[in-house]
Amino acid sequence: MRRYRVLAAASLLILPALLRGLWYFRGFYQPAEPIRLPSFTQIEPPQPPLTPAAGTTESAGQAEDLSGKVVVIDRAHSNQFQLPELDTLTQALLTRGATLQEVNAGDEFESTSFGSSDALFAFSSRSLQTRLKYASAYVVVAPQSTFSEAEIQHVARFVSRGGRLLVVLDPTRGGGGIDIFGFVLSGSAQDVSSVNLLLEPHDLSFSNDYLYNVLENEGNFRNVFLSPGEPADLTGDLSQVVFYAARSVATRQGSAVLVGDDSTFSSSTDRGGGLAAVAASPDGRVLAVGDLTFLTPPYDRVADNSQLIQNLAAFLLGGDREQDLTDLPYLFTRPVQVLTSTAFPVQSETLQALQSLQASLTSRGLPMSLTAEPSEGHDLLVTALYEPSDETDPYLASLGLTLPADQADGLLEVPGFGALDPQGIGLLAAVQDPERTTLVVLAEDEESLARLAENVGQGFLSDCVFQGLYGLCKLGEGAGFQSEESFDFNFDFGLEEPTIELPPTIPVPLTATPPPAPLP
Amino acid sequence: MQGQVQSGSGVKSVLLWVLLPLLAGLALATRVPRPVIGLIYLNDSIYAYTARDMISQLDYARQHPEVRGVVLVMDSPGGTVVDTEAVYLELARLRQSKPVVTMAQGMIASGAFYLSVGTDYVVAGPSAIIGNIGVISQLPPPPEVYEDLASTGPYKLFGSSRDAQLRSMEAIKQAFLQAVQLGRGDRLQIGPERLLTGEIWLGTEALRMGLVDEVGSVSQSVERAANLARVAHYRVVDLRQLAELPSAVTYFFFYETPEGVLTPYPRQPGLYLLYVPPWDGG
Repeated sequence: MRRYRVLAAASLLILPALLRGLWYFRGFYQPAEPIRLPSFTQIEPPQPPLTPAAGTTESAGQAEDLSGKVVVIDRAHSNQFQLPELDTLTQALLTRGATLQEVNAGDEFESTSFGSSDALFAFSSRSLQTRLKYASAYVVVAPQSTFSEAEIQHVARFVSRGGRLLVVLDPTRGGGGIDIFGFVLSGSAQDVSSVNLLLEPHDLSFSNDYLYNVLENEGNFRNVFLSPGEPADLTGDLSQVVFYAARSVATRQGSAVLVGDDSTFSSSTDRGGGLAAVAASPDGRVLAVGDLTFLTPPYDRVADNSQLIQNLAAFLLGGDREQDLTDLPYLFTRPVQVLTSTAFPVQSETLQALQSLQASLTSRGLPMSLTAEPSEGHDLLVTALYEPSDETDPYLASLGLTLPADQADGLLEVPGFGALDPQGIGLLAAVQDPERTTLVVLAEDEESLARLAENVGQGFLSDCVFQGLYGLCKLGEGAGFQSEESFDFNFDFGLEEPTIELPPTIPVPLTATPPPAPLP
Repeated sequence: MQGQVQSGSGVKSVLLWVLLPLLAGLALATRVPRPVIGLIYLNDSIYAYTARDMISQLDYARQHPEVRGVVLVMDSPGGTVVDTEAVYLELARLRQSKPVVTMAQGMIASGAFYLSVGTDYVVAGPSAIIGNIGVISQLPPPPEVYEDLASTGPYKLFGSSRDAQLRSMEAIKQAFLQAVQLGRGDRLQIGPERLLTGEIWLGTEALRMGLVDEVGSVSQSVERAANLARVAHYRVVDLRQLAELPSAVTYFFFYETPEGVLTPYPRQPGLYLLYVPPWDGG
């Protein structure tokens, strides 16, 4: 009995707690599975695939000596970079013997008294045009301001005559940006339409995007690995390149030089597959590169980036630039000797004109001297009147000209132009052969000859019409041309460069007697 | 007289064997606490002060048996890396004994999402903002030497090179990705190529992607926590009160312009698991 009482008492003692427990608790919590955490201690920051042996020195040492070639770097379009950022590329160019020059927006403007913005623009354009006359390559990096129509035409013509064009954009060098952490940070809002106008004639265009890869990248999603495509001279010795935020480049007929894999996406579409960050024009003369950072230390030593830089240098100096009369006064590549006819005395105006030419040549490191007997290793400038001369006739004979003195009607006959009244007209003719470039400058009288020589020296050739070997320049009023509708002779002091008015210029062939070309 | 004695003995017996044990049992039953589902609110970014408060509440929940489950009610764009990771590790410790449920009330972005994947179950409002996986940071300036500001090493002033910081961010991102993959497990319906874009998604989208478990309300998340904890007739209590923490104060985490406009950007440079919404400059 007592046992039952104890059991009852114990039950009564436990029951409230048991009931309360059952009221509140329906079981015991069991973690569903072992709680797994990231392996913090195992995760290490990714390290770049450095290639210390990839080499500027080795590659450059084997490079061809290309001294005399000029690479012009654009600084005239609010370019968003500092020259030291191109050091690895410029060193590769200098090692090969190239000369570097900048083209700035205000260079020539500052030396004149013109003050309007129109004048600035015109001079900027002329400055670029002037440099492209003797350049082998033109490098444009991260431009912000617009290329004018004239500039685009100058560059297109430069490329059509064998010049090389390298355009580098970088999405981190944009004009737009955001204010974050109290600082204005530049972003990828750069307008690519301006530079795309420059590239449009060459079947290339940048996209307003950046490439990214969240799965396989070089330390960050925007640092993308790229594989070589075509052509071989640009992709030689490359197996993998890393770009650090890159725009994609599109081309229809050109070559995709460096492409991302299927997981490399464009920020504008979030899709990928075969996106190119470097592409070449169909003729291989223009290269669009979507990143600038890979050129700068320490990124120039990652993967095969240094080899790519060497390939770019070789590309820039690899063109075979054709020269013609439109490149005056930079037609010459050797020291220049000036041969004048003794049929007339050298006047002060002629000396002044020659001084202009000398200044132009000196700026290119080419000395100029007067001579009575041309010697080897020199280019030659022959100045003469439309009259027979023992000194100059040998040079005129090879040009196929018929001087007024040899014609019954007193007209000047120029192959391709026909018979012309020489009054008020100057004649330029160039002959290029492997040993020498000869430029013949002819005019009706000493005054006209001096003016023409001065225009040649200053490169003011907007009143000239070029065709094949020959150029005809207006020097005064005359009846040489029957109608001014045939040519645009508006004298504009060089502020307005001719654009589409001129007939297409035929590069100077390496023969002394070209076939006559019909008038356009 | 004998009957009175027997009656007295019976009363005593009842008192001794029934009433007394029952009273003792009732008293003992009061020692069985009513279960508590604790709420921890985060309506701020995750930085030193908010993280300290959260850790205090998590610690309270871990040490007090009556707290049977916890619901993180969050509306946060994330915060600093170190504070997020600190809270995340405390969550993992608590989950060994008690379930933790996340309620995404407004936004669980970046660091806040990091915390959510460290809980047992995630409930989100239909239009809550979810995701933004990744790291942001302002990089140190390019290497320079200053004439009037001396230091004893090239990175003494700014801590690291730009490149090194970028790579550190990548390591942090990898840990974040692992936390998501381990936390969500088989429930995850999208791969790293989508996760790592840093996108934000609505609650309903996040449900389809397996980033959350249910679209619902705070009360549903409390019920879920109770279910996981296997308790009923529970109390729902703000753990801040139980932990006797002072009212939440907002430290000046975000940058304020000289004109007094609060920006969505942190006041100090650093490494952040933070969602920065578009801002027009105020």
